[in-house]
Amino acid sequence: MAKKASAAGKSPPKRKTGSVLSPLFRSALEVLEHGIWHFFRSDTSIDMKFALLHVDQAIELLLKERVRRGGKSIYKNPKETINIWSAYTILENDLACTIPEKPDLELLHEERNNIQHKYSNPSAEDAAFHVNQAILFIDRFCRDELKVDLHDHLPAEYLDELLPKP
Amino acid sequence: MAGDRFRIRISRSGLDFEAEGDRKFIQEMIAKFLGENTPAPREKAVGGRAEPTHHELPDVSSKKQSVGEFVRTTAFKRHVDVVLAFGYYLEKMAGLTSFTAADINTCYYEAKLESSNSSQMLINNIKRGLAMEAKDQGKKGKRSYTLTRSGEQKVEEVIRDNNA
Repeated sequence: MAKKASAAGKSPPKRKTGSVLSPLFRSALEVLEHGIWHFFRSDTSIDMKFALLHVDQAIELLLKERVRRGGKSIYKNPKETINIWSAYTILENDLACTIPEKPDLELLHEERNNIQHKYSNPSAEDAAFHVNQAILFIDRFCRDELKVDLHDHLPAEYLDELLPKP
Repeated sequence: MAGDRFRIRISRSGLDFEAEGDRKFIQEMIAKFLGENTPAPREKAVGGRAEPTHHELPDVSSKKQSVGEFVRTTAFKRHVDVVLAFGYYLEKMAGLTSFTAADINTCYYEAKLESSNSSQMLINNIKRGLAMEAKDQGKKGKRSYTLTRSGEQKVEEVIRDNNA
């Protein structure tokens, strides 16, 4: 049975037309938006936990997207893709892509590992540091490396609260 | 006769008064209510008649405004502004010298508003120069905040504009 073209009563977010987004990049934006949604919903450790998980995942997907656009495979074998550390290595060694924000992103990934693999309950203050640093990186990385303006893909009310005024 | 029974109910700005009985009882209860709630009872008469009762009602204009009432007078929409208004309320009306993110969350609850990430909104207000960390840090290591003069002025200007 054919699906209806659009869900009743809901219109998709307005995004710039003209170029088709890669599934990898689109997925990165989706998890990023959902992570920020958690971040702004409350300052409970549960929301902070999911905010950090999603924002870190978005970064990993964006790095992989840059690897893909650089003509490098994101697969380390037919069944597994590279992890975030391999993505950094490929970007730095093979694609001459430097990431000065890497020390902050490493801290976020460590926090993500503590949540994902153990039982970390991040505080609102710590989460605010990680998310603010992550968004600054994502904004810069999208613009410089992926030639995309984040404002075309994420709600303005989120970015207004997270990015410095131009 | 049933017609001799009276019932009166006065509800005004959080003060409720209700009485039922004969005329004398009602008058006694009104006098008692006014006596207890009026700071300085006035004996004014206009043209030989006592002023209408509603003029004798207690002056409730000085009664403390609830946080929900207050934040609605600002008509702020963005959470970052709402948090600023809560901070203003806590310092100017609730008598706190500083406040924490938890205090802001309590304001959201009492005002029956959907909450937000208060910590992030306080950080944003610090970036805007409207709030700052308080010198006397809160108990249990929780960070305390206070409004800057600019933050106070912003809230006061909005209230003034909305009342104009």
